[in-house]
Amino acid sequence: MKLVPSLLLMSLAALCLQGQVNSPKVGTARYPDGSFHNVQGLPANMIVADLPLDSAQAASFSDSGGLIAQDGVIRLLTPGFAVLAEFSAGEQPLVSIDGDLTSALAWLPAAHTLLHWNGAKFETFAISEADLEGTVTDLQSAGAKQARLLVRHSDNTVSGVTVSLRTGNLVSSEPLPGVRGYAFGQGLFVVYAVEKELVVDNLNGYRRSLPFEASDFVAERMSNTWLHLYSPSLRQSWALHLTQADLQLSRLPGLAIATAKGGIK
Amino acid sequence: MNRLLRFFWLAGAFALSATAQTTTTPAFPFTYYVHDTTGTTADYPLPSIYQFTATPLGNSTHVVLKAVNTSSAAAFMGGVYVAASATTTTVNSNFTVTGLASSISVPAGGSLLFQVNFSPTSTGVISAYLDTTYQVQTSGCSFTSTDPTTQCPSGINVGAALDGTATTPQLVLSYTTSGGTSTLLQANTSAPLNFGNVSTSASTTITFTLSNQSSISLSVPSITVPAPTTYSSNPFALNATQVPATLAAGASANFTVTFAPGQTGVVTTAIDVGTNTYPIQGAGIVVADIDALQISYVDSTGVQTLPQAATPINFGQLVAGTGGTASLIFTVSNPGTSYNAVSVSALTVSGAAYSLSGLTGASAFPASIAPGSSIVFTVTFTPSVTGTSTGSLAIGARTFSLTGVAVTSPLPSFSVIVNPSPLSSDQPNATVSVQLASAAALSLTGTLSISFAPSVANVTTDPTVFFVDHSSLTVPISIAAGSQMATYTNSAGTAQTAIGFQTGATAGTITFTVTFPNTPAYTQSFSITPSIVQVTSATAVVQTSQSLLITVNGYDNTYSAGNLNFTFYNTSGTAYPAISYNAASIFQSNFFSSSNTAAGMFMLQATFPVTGDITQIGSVAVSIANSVGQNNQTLTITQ
Repeated sequence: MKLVPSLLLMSLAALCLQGQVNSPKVGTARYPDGSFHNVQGLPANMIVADLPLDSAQAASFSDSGGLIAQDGVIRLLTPGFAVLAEFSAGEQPLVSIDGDLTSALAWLPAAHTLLHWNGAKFETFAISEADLEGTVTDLQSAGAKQARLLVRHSDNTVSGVTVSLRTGNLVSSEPLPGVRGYAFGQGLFVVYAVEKELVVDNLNGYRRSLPFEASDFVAERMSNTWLHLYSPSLRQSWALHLTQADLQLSRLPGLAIATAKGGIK
Repeated sequence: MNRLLRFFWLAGAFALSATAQTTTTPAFPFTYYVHDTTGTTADYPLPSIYQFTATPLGNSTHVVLKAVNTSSAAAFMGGVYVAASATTTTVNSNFTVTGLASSISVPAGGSLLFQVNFSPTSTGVISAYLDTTYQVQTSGCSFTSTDPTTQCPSGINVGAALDGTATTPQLVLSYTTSGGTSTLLQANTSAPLNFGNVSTSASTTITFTLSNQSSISLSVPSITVPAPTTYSSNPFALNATQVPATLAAGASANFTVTFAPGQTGVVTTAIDVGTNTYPIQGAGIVVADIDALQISYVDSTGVQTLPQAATPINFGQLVAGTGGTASLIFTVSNPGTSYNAVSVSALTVSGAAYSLSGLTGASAFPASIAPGSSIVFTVTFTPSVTGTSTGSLAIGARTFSLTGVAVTSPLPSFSVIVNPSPLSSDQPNATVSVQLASAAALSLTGTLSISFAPSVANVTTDPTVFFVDHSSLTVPISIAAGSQMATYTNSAGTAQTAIGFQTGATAGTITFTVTFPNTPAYTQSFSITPSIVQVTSATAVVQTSQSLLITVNGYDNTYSAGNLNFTFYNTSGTAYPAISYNAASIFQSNFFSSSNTAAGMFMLQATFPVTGDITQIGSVAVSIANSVGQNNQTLTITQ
């Protein structure tokens, strides 16, 4: 499906066109029953197909691969879902991948340890409890050799904590004004829910919001620009397309009753 | 001694032991109670004089008695009868005892029920006595032995006096014989009126007359002929349409009962006139060969019925206009015990709503059915109008009436409401609701289905059109009594009237179908009109110093996208010459690929190798054209 190249000569640049047309990709979603599904389509019009992957308790996907947790074992996946590496965590971790494979991170709450795929192996960094008080709700890569964690404190406020992936030391810890409760990071954005609204804060201070019927949600990355949001109370899933230019929330089709196992892992 | 002699006359089985029993008459082991079969009042001992309620001549009243064996030994009830006096064995014909089998053994503490009927034949006060013959088991004796040495001791008990007052007759029932003789019928008699032996191909009808013999106008109670308990179809047909609601003093009215057996054998039931029961009986017999055929049918639930010619074969109730049908599968068998092949001259069904199909076992008529063989066929009821549709089935000389009913829907009319309206492809937050024209009178559960018919050539479906909650094409819905809106219970168990669905990415027609029991399916369609290519997101990104990537996500619900046009601008806004390209074949390859499940949705990625300073490129205008028109986007280059 290659477009025939066409040459354009310009005063400073010459362009030639190569291209292809495919079905629009959304990403890989882990449904509440733990099963994995390939999601295609556009906001408000998606289609979900089963994937031959064993169910997992946590997952994160980018356009470059995936990181999943299955019964205490963290597995790094290629875009074709082949297992590239494993790490036995022995506990239920929080996982994240938001770019290439070296953005793969995991938070082991019991061990209070950060796990990072450095391109060759998983390396661990024990984090001082004094540096990180609260519950980590999300983590993502933050430039070269840094990880940014969102930490929910006992008073429901949220801080952004940056940790060095060279030393494991705390780089910075900043309270996020206005952010409360469960929060999820996506690049420079922080997503959280407040009073029937889904709020997206840009770290530069710009704030957007959408009507959101759920008061509770959890999120996992489906691809570089798509998040899977799930409300345990409403038992509904949404797909959030979040980029600098775009913010669209739409219902993610539920599984057929014969397929869905129900329950929340 | 006199009592004993009378007893032996009544119960011959004990006669040989007369001498032996004269000195060993046991105490009467039974105690009688008046019993209320409805359980409303408690049993109470039968008084020494029981007074029946005043009973008009020709009518009947009764009392149910409970006999309890209050002795310490098993007792044998030889019989109960109502004697004309305390010193005679003559039965008083104004009383009968029913519901009691003769010669019953009752253990100590055991009991049994029977009924004493007062059916006076003359006016005035009538007195009688309730007598009981009995035995009591002692020392290993036998109730049934005829040997005096082993026979259980017996006795006879003259019990309560029974008094009844017969009043002036009111409504009496009589019938007229073929000879024109009118015969008065006694209610609650044990002797049924016999319709005689009737061929299963024939019938016989008796005319009954209900007369008001009182001096005042009387209401006529209900007249019924219940089906025999062992039959699902009644061989007796009542026609009481000429009987008025009231009969003036001295007036009478006729009704008929027709015995038309569809099966062989003796059958007994009764004509019930209010509380009075008049037993009737008939027998279906074989006169001609065809009478021997055994006819049965099976309905859709597998229930088999042996039809009787007197009762129409009922196809039940359907909703007119639904296209629904009801079928019964008939089997006509020549019993294996027969030694003659039976010829069936014809097999016909009449009545516009009925049709015959699926004949096996015979190819044409007349047909011969050998012993042990059968023919099978289906009769189908397909009503086109509301009301009762009648017809008939003739199997040679054996004829049966057919009946079925078509009704209108029990629900008011529907409408389907979509929001937003009109719909478009890839419509965010599209919902559908089902509304009734008025409040439902009853609660019902049904389904709502969604289907899609593309208007794009060579496209048969759009797999992205479905209800969102379970990616399904059908959801259960319900309507509560008193409500005008149907509700759907979603995954979280919440009932909602607005049901989310996806509108797809193909031009065409979305059709919703509402189905409830006994209601014609309701459909309503909504068009998705062809539109220009819609872009939901697009980016233009510098990949390297010599490469620029344009990504466009969107949909083309006409599947006809083709011409692409890219016009680049430098950072000062000066346009470079446009690049045009006909990408129709590439789009078509994607849309019509057998693996495409995304309908008209697409992701276009175009890479532009760049020679020169890529940072001088500031923006790009992208246009994509399809059969409806052209979409234009201007994208800022992300360096």
